[in-house]
Amino acid sequence: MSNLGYFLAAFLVIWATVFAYVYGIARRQRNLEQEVRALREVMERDQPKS
Amino acid sequence: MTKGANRWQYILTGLAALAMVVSLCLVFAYVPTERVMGPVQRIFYFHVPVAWVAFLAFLVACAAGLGYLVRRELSCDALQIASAEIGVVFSATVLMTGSLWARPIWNTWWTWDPRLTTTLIMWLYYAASLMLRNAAEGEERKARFSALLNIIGFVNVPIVFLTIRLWRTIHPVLFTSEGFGLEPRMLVTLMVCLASFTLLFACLVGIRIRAERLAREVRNLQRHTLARADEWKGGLR
Amino acid sequence: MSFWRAMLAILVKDITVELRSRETFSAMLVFALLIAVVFSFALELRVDNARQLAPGILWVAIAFSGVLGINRSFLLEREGACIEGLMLSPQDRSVIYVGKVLASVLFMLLAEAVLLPVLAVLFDVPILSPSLWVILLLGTLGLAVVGTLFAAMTVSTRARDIMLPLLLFPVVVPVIIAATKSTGLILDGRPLAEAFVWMRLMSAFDIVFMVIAVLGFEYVVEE
Repeated sequence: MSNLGYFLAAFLVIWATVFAYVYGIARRQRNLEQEVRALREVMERDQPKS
Repeated sequence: MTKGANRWQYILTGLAALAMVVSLCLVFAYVPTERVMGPVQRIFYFHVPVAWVAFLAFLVACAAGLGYLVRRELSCDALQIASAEIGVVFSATVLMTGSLWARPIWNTWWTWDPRLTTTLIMWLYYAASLMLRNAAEGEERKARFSALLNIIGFVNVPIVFLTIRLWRTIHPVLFTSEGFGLEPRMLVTLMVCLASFTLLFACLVGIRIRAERLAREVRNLQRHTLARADEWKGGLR
Repeated sequence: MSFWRAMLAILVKDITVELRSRETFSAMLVFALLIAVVFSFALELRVDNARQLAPGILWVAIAFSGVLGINRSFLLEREGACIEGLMLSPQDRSVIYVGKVLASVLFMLLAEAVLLPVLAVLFDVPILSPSLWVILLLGTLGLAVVGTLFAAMTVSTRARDIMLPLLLFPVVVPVIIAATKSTGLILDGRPLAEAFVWMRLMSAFDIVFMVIAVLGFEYVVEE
């Protein structure tokens, strides 16, 4: 690998890592939002009975 | 409790993106090539800011931990977990970029340079502390333990660094890092990169805290629905 | 009850518990010896490199068996719900901490007392120097001070067996470095002055973390 190749590799590593992390958070957030919606529905359902 | 990003977070993200673009232009076009190491030295303008962010992240986590132990506010806990996680991510990046810089310059993937070695140890420690947080049970306990570990971790940074530096001077290893002076253009580029990565850090912390608040809301709702279900079952008997 | 008497009471309790079963100490001792032997094979111990390898193998053995001992000591507390009982007493919580550190240091030093002669035989190294014993004390103290604080946290978690070494080893790297360097210098017969810088480092480490741990232990066991 030429020297410039190492530079580009380092550059890619940084951005790949940051985006992977952000993607991980975003995915977790989507799942959580789904859960919130589901749980809210369950709560609405229970309301008339209690 | 805001679920979506508020206006300030959008502004912050915009600023960070702008700063990054400027940094890229500077690093790729404006800054002169260093004489001794050649073009690969440009890694420096990313490697150092990434290391700075990792250090900053652990510092913020320590401060947030102290804040939690004193005030017991969950917002401190959210800040400390966000910072610690980002610190781990960026430490790993420092190690990888450090290796990628060492290889072409000194023909080795690893040098026992005090800064790099300290980063390795801190990465291991904070990764373990995140594991402990996961394994601990109870939100309050997780917060308390994380706070203690974040404080101890940061206090340990200078101790580890000085020890390894002492170890190296008495037992010299082959390479010294950084042997170049900084021309004004290089200094400017470095400063801009430092600023843009700091902005990036702020954005990431914001995103992570938002996710943490959401997770907390989910846990509260879960507890709530379980309690309701118990009530309801009790009513049937 | 004064601080000292309470602390002594906890130390005596730990010793008594151990005397009844002798499980933990024997496990520590055998483990330390095993590590010494396994590392001798793994590092291809020969007459010419024995002096070089001895300090490292000594301290790896101490570190791992120490972790085992500290872990067990807290696991036993947890099983008997002892910590809760201890906390009912109107003492400053740090008494528990200091008492347990002393107990751990005692057991580790005992194990080291047996380990050293064995190493003297295996590695042909002189062990009768008092400075070596000081180094052992400083290093053991460093491991126990941090280990006891962390163990109080880790045993209340799900992964209670593996978390302690995971957390402890990064933190005690300075102790390991200082201990092995100074041990090596002493075993090589270098003047004490050269080992001094490492011994000062270990002392500083011990003091700093003792202070942090005494302050922090309150937060670990509050429930």
